Amino acid sequence: MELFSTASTTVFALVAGFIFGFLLRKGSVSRFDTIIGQLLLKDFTVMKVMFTAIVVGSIGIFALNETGHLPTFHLSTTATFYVIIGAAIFGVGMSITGYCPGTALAALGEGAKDMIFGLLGLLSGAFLFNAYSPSLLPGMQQKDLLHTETLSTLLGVSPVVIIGGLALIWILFVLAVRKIESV
Amino acid sequence: MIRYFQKDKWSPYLVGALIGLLLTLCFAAGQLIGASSGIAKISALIEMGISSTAIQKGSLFEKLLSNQIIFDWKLLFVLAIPFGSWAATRLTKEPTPKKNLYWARRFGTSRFKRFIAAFIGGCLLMIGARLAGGCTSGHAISGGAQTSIVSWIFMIVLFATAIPVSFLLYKKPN
Repeated sequence: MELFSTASTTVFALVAGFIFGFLLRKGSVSRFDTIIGQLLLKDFTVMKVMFTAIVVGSIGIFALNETGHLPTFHLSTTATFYVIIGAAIFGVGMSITGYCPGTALAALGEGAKDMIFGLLGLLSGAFLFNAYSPSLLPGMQQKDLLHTETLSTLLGVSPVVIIGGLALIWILFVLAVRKIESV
Repeated sequence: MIRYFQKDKWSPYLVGALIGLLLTLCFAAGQLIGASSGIAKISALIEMGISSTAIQKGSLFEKLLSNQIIFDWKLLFVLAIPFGSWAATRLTKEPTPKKNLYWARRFGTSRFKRFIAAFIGGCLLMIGARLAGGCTSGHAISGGAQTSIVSWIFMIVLFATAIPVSFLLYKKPN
């Protein structure tokens, strides 16, 4: 067992995680009331952050792809059935906790003592899942079109079209939220 | 500029854009943003620390430890998150709002109740994330930005579940 991989990966991971935690906190999504506020459809901060991150991220990723720097896509190969079941369980958990794993860690950094128990729960959940994992894991991989293709390769259109579509939906989202919040 | 770092809350659109930029940089380096597997790796290391022979063949923990590196990207990333949040909090000079109000108005101020809920919720989050193969950081943001269709499915089902459950749990009592 090695302790670390390369020096650059080590430093980059720490800096990236630090910045991510910093941004989650400044975005206020490290707070129970922000996340539950979203789930109660009273506070749209979470969707604003997530949707914008996805749109900007997709522009960046596809731009990288086009300009010759070719990072490989890492698309999830988890079977759709398990993605759905998992997302539902995750949704219940997120509602009860008031956080997701990443924001729970950010909450911890902000001083939320209940997330000490949240973290213990996350760690315990891993042990619980791990116990059943040898029988579960083999059946959880799926390599169909949904898993091997991005939207653009699946539909056979240029990524620009997909990103243009996403950006358009984002604009509509921003306008819609403005309307909702002005009431 | 310093004043902006002292604010309690930034524009969510700015924060989202910066996260998108961060994701792009990580992607350029061959990495993704994710949180649930990093946390699961801590559990794997705990089991390894207790007894390396306890790691079952074909298990999640075996898979997480298979790169033979302890402090890999996934683990270091999640370990750094609380420190980033802490730093952002330290810099904040504006007053911060009271916390957990939605919880308190429905379930009261008992810390015990809150801690139990946090623990159970945490278990469900991790079980759900491991079944789905990711969490909001891994699926929604990293997968979503790559326009991976299963990641979009994850997001939709997540909100479709979490919203009604939250209404049941936290809607203002009459």
